[in-house]
Amino acid sequence: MRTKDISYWLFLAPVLIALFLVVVVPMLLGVYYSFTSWNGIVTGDFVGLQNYIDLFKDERFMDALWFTTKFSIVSVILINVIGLSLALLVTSYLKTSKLLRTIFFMPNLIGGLILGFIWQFIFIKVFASVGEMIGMESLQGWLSTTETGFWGLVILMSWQMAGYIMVIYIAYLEGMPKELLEASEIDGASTVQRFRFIVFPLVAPGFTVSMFLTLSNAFKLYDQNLSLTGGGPFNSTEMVAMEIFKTAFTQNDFAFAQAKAVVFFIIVAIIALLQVYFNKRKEVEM
Amino acid sequence: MKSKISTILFFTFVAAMLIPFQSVMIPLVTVFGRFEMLNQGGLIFMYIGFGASLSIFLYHGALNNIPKSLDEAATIDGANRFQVFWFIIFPILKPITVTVAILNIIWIWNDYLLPSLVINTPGSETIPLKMFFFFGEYTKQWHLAMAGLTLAIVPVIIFYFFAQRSIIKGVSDGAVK
Amino acid sequence: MRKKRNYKLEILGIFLALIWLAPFYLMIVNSFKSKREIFTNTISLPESWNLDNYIEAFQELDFLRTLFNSLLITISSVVLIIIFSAMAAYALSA
Repeated sequence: MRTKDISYWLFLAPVLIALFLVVVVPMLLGVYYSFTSWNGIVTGDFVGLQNYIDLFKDERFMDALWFTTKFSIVSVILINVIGLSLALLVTSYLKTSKLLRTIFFMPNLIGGLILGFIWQFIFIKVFASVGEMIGMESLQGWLSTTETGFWGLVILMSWQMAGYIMVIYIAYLEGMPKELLEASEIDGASTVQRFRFIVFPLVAPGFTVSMFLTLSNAFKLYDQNLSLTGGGPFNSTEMVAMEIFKTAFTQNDFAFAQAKAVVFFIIVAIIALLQVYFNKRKEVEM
Repeated sequence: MKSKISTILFFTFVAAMLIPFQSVMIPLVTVFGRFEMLNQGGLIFMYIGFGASLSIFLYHGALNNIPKSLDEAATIDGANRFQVFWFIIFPILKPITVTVAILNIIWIWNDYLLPSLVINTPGSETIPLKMFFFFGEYTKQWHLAMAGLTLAIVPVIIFYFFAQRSIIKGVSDGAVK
Repeated sequence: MRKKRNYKLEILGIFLALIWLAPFYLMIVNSFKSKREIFTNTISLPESWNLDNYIEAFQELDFLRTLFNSLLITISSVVLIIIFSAMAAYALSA
């Protein structure tokens, strides 16, 4: 099909129009609005970089950014450790291997909003009643402090995403020749040696994919944040996505929210481009 | 030989994947609101815009493995472009279509934020939107909430039960590629 | 050497699977309890398996209609995404 043919453009038209109206136009408009005092109805004056300067002085936004960063680092590590462990477990010769995969992966099919609500019940009601039963004070009042809210989010996210990351590691582990492992067993290699010299090099490419996937998912988290803690107590567990939403639709400060959204885009894009860079470098090495 | 325009367009679709929803959300809702497009039809149109990039990326990868001669032979036989696509190319793409379908179903079925901004008329809410019913600001009816959440999960479990293998394969292919 | 099953790992796997399923267990058992019963007890099985909560939740959610809306949006969007994206990718790769 040649680009001057009308059929070429007919084939492309539906997605081009949709992408243009849904992503390209709003993105460009958004960047433009972030330099104005737009309130959703009137474009307002051109204010230059004022919104961007204000944003770095906005304590609530900076707190959300810091909370999101902490959350992302802790969850990336935990999810990958748990995900890889589960992958190693279910790729051993187990009778229940298939069933276990199905179970560990299951939370990923259900929306973050619903999962957040289930865990809200667990942290608030179940933890409290178990705490009462076994006399553990620390199980009371979960999600009512910043710290328990933070760990609540980490637990929810790890439980949900570990199975997803497990599936990715399985894809790499199953490419591993069985004879190699058996030979190493006969040669008397220890478990640690087997992991270090055979398993590790095989799953190494999976690290890049999994790390960045969890990082970008954690950084963009919204649904779970909304349904588990709602940002509370006192906005202290509010993540960036939710902070932007509230600036726009609760405070009606559209231009300011849009400037935050542009900064959010830049951070997410940098994460993604770093992944591309690391992948490319790895390909060259191989 | 791929043309320059094709390369640029493909790159544009891939680049669009970098944009998080929050970055376009505010202008999107304002613009679509002005044209009275905040309804189910508008929502479907938006999903095409947001879902196209990854889907095109996956299809593009699969199409690279199909020999060009197939396509040319059919054209010589007098089939038009659309016939070639629909009767010859699309059926060959079936495995990747399953992956594309699964990834988009999981995402759209569970999506909350976009429909919450687009759907305003009572009676046209999707399942995630209705979940807030039990989680009001001050009163929580846990016993009803647990029944409601279970009801909401049942369709997903049924889907998982029947398409388990394709789902796990689709998700893993989508992530690794 | 071949197919040597490791029973310790097998037990560990089942144990972890139970932990993974615990949230669903808690959701389901509590969905049958009355308001009062949830207040006193969240982890045991319900005193009776009565469906009152389900009947009420089903009505409050307008479940059939909501389910239909979700199906309508998801199926229409996915079908259109598949056709249009495949067409576009075909044009771009030829």
